[in-house]
Amino acid sequence: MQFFGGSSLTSVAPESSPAPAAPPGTGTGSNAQVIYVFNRNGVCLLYREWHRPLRTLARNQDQKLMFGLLFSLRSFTAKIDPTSTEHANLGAPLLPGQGCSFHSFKTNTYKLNYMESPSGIKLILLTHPRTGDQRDALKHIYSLYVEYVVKNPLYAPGSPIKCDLFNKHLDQYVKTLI
Amino acid sequence: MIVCVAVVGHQNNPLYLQSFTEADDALKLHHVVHCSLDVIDERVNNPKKSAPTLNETFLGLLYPTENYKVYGYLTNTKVKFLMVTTDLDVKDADARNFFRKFHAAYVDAVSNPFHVPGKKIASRSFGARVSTIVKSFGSGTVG
Amino acid sequence: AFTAKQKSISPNWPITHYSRPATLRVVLSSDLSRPPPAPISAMPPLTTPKSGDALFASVERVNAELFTLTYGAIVRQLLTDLEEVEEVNKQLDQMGYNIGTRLVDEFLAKSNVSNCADFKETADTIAKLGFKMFLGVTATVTNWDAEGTTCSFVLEDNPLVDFVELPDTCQGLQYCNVLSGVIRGALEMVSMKTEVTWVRDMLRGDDAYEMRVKLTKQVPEEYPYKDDD
Repeated sequence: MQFFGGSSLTSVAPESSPAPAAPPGTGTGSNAQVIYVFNRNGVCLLYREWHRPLRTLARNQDQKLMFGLLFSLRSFTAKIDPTSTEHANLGAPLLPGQGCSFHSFKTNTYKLNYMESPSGIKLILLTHPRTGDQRDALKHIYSLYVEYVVKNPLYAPGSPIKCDLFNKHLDQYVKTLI
Repeated sequence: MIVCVAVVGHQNNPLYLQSFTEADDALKLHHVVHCSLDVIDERVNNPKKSAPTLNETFLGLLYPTENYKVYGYLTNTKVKFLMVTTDLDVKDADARNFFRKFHAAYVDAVSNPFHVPGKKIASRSFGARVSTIVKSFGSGTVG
Repeated sequence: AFTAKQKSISPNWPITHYSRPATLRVVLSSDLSRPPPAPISAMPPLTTPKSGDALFASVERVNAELFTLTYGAIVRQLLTDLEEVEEVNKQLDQMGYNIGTRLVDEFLAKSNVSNCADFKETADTIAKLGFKMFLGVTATVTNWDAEGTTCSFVLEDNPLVDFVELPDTCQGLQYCNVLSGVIRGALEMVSMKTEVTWVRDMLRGDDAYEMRVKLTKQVPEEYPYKDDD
């Protein structure tokens, strides 16, 4: 595994260490393009972009649509789950832990990686379509969030993240993603 | 047998005073304790005191009367522990051991968040613990 | 593209691989290159949850006496500031709640626990992993009611109360109310509204600490925006 996964914070690569070579086609040297972090109430805690040449929507509209897409997709994926015997109506509210969830989807130009914690924190990472499984990476970003945001006593839960330390570590970490 | 124990704060304010006799001589014992505070003061403030004993918390026999012997112990925070015994032949090691346990009990008692530093120790569990230590001292020094 | 890997797996176990021939490919639980993890709950974790001991060993720790004395100082200061014992209880509960809402994320990030199937599993997780991770002790879950919505956490050992002796003037004080607040706050963040009350307290002469946790409501996830937005 080339991920810097795991919970230990020391695994964040220092800036000086060379980032793993990006797969061909990205052209930017960076695989991660955009990250969104939502809380359970649909508030966008964090939006950060590293590589997004085209922006078509106003920022908050974009975030709202992204949240809506995930919400519907999760509800839909749970609905079509062929192993489950109990199916609520499409769009019916899901109890926590109920139904399955998806981890990523891929188009020909990008890949959307998704992770939701039981506490309702949703992490969305857009990457180059040829990147591998990013679940460990998302888990690591979640632990960065815990370490530098949740544990920051000055951070008010539910407000947009304005923690420089978190952003710094996040930037550093996503450079290492492949 | 130990007849009285006391804890005295750094301004010579009583923190804990308990006698363990059937007879009604608490006042007399308190007087003995009171007098021995002067002995502690004298020892501590005596400049001629030899260097090795400077860091010593156990002060040893403070003063003997015809009925009692008073032992003392002084912590670095200037809290004094006193013990009045009727035993004539007390081994130093026993006395040291007693004070060590007594000191530990005191530390736990002042760690109670409801204890106000400088005020009397009202804790019941401290009282119970001290009684146990006092009793075990008697049994440990038979003969 | 179903595989036969799911024989011994519970019915709500997600399928191993789902693909559509279109450009949109939804990977449901894991891709085929990865061996299926042991079935733990509806969402398969990448790694199995850690044991309580492993978890406790992996987190940073603080001297127990420092912790106990700090908490004692906080309670004392609250008593001085608020004067009313009832107010102090409320404040401690609120503080615990605020702690709990943050603590839950740390717990989830470090324990590899994913969604619990029901309240029973949640309670067990808290007792065996949550208490161990943050307090170094484990609790026992007992006294379930018939509906499975109310249970008791029994703590034999409680590091908050070393040295503590309640004075006569504070007999109404729920010294450990912060713990019940933490449980309430943490559970609320995983969509469970609970009421937590203390029923046994060693500071009042009982033989153990027991808090009663009642699940009042499970909040489903709702779409937070209005449709006309």
